[in-house]
Amino acid sequence: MTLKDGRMGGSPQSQSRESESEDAIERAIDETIRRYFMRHEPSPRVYARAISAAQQPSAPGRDRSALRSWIVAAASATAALLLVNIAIHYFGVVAARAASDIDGRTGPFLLWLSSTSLARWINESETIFGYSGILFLHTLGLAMAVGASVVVDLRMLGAASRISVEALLPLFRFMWIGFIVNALSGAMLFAADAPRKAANPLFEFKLVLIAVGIAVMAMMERSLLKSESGAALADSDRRLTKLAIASLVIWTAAIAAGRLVAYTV
Amino acid sequence: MESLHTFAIWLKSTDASWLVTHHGWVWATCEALHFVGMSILFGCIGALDVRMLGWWKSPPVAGVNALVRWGVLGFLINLVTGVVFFVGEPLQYVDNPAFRFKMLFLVLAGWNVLMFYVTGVADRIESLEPHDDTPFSAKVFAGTSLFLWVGVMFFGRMLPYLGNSF
Repeated sequence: MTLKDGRMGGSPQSQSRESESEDAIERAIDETIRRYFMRHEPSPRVYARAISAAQQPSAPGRDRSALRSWIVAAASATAALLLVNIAIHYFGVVAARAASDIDGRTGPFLLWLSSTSLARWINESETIFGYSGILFLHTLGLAMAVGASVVVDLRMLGAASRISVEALLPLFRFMWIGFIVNALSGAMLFAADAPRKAANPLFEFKLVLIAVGIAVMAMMERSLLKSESGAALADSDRRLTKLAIASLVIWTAAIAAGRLVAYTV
Repeated sequence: MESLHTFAIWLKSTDASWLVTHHGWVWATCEALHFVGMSILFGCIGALDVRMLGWWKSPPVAGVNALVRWGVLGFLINLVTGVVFFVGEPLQYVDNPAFRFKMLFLVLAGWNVLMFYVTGVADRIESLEPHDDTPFSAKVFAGTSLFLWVGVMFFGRMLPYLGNSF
């Protein structure tokens, strides 16, 4: 009896609730379209949030995640800079000590590398194709690789939301070109000053940071490729946000470490 | 030129200048921030440039335009840190030919941005959808912008080699 009652009463009730939530979704869509035409740039995330809010009106505090990720990103970047600065003093001392006994620690490979004609030419060339030109290429590659990463990261954190996430994929090509330019120019700069660079712990720290940074970007690219082939992006959205924050922090730290290599050697 | 020298010598004698050069971390932190700001500026402005040139056609122009304010943030970071360098060691910049070229390219890049908005090209392309081609005038502005910013970067990097800065 109660079962029957429940079934009989429940069916039209749940139907009306369904149509009610459908109305709410319609209203959310209308609202989103209205804001689109008023150029308020609703992001896919805002859109998804409006629909999910209409579906479960009782879920509180859902729209705070964007603000929170901004605060986390800003705080992490500041923390990374501060940490790297504290590290300067430590590394500076270690680097000075390491530089004072290079001769005792330089292996045969490093000695051979710094004696090659390429290394000597890089060091001695007075033209733009020598050390200074290679250093410029290293800076240009940095701007390309980190610049493209920054654009992807900003988009993941909610900026420029009218760029669809899939549309970001061609940017990774610029990032990889920048990375290759920097790997080659970096190898040449290393060859020009191999024993001292190898003795500098800050240089190893920089290489580790770059390896992690590139791995993070490769993970992002793979997630985007997967989402383009049909899988829902909503599940990986939080993961992408975290990767974006990690990327910003790691590139900031890598740049700081790279700059400090120039000051501690 | 004479007054520029007098100004540089006066600047060097200020407490602010002493502060920059007598704490190693100030210069090192600003160097790191200068490169971070450069990456943000080059990434965001470069993104709009490659969209206009047609090398990255998948987003709508208005979407990429929203990145320009972040490029401005990168520029402001570099303006502040650049001023710190100048205050710290004004004498190594005033006579440096690389520094003068950098400033020239910077002014030209600013002029290019101004013209981009004043001539109405920016408004004309604002409504372009994904995969739309931009007009030739927009491509000229984009190419000029890329050339000038790479030039700024080049002469910045050449400060120690064409001149005497570090």
